[in-house]
Amino acid sequence: MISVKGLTKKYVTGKTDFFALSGVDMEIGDGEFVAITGKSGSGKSTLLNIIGTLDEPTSGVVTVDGEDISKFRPKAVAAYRNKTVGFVFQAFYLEPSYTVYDNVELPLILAGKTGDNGDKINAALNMVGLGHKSAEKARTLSGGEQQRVAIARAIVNDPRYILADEPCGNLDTTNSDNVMKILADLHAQGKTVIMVTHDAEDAAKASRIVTMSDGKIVKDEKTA
Amino acid sequence: MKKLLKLSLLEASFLKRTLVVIFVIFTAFGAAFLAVISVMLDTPRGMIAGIDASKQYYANLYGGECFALQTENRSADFAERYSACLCYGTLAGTTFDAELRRDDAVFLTDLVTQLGNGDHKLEYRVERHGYFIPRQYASRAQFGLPQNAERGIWLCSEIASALGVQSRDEIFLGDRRLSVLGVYERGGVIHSYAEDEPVLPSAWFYVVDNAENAVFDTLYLAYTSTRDIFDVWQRADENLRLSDILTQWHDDIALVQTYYGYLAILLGALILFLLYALFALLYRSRKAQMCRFALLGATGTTATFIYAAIALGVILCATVLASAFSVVLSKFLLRVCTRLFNVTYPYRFRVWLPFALLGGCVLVVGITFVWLHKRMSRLPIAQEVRHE
Repeated sequence: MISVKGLTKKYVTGKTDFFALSGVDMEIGDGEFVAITGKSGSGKSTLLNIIGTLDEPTSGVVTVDGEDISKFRPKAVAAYRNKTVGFVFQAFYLEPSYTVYDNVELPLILAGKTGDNGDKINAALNMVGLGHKSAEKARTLSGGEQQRVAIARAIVNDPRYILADEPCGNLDTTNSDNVMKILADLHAQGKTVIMVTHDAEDAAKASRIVTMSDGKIVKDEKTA
Repeated sequence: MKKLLKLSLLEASFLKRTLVVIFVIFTAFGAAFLAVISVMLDTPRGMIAGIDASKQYYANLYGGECFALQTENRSADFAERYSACLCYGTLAGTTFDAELRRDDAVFLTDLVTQLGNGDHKLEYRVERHGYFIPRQYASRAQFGLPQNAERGIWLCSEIASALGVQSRDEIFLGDRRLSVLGVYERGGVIHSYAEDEPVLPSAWFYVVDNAENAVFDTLYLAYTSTRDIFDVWQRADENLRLSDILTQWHDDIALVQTYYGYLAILLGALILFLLYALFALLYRSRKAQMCRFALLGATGTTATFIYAAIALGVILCATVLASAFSVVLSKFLLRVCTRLFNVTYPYRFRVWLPFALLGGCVLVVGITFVWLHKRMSRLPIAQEVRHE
């Protein structure tokens, strides 16, 4: 379970302060599929980044399974990113010269699992429908395929939480549908999925929609 | 992790980006090593036969070893006649071992003692001055006084007269038999010499009377065992004064010293700058990748290790290549500089330049590593990822 209390993030630009988050409170239960929506600059990505320890809050507390992640030491933060959460971003962030297989293997290597990871990697790739492309270089894949590799990479360490920031932002409708289906499948398998999107259609596929504006949650509703 | 490193190193785009930098580094290191190796490995060897006041200066300057055997005679007549100074210095690339030094001193002492022959009571003093020749070159020594002294000796005409010998004769000093290679007049004017000998002795010492004001028709201030360098030092002129030569020589040395000083500083600065630039470039090109690794759970230490391994690997390769490159070019530089300035390399740069370069590199690498680790441990990942 993820709990966010009084979360504030302030950016100082010149002499003015900009609050990307202003006292955000929310809780995300295990197995939820949460879509965080809002206009650009509403703070939705900032919220996701803080939950993923990619950013630090100015104030407030984020607890994951009862632990305050802001108090993690660097090694614990790395372990959290490696094992507890899996990231999926709009820009994929694959290693372009690595093969699909190698890209998916990276989190395992960083987790110290340097033995035979073939089964785990192939399972992850099969999950996203790319088992047949494991030997290809990441840069040769289409955008949709690269995003699916990114998802495979995110799930290969079997994290409990999938954090997806505009996962369909760079994709056409067909590929978006594919990615959303994969995320829905992961949700169905019991993963907690937190997705940032500005696309209402994608958001509607989540089980809960949190709408943000000016750094605050303005609406939090369950979908049917 | 090994695989990760291998993959990182093989990344084609990275190599493309750094190829130019590697070349620049290569060239810079080549130039630096060129200078260093030139002065360390290919410095002319030879002798300084000079006046008393200058021998120590030049010997020290060139890393030579200077011995002075001076007679201190209470007899004004003999003092004037034989207040000879004999000195020779060796330049880098050769040295005498302790035994030879002692033998030299004894030998020369014997010589002057015999000449004194009881009429004049002589006191001798052997002065030893500091030498800076790296020990590893000792085994390469190709000349030493005993070996060359076997060829013979040049004698002042008055000494030759006293002994009743002339060129090509043989004299016995103790149990040693030496040919008289030539005889020179007091003041340095050549009186006679064996025809198969150069005008000045190719033996490794030379006695100069009143050298400060000596006049030579041909003067070798110093020379080496190699003929090409030997020629460089030859100053042929009528009525050539040793003092004038030394003055000119000193000016030349000062000039080259200055050039080398500037060159060393420039090269050092250039190398440090390029090293830093390389790190900066690598950092920029790798920063996004490190952020991606961090997203996947790489620790700051892991990221730093990967990054530093790549950077140091590149620098190491460039250094090795540059070293090999510089060995070849150093020969060329030596020739050019020797011909251009007509002097050898200032010794002091041989000592501190390599250490300065090495120290500088170590310092830069160390500081950069620490800096990297701090940066890698605190990368503003979200920001960097968004920039990418």
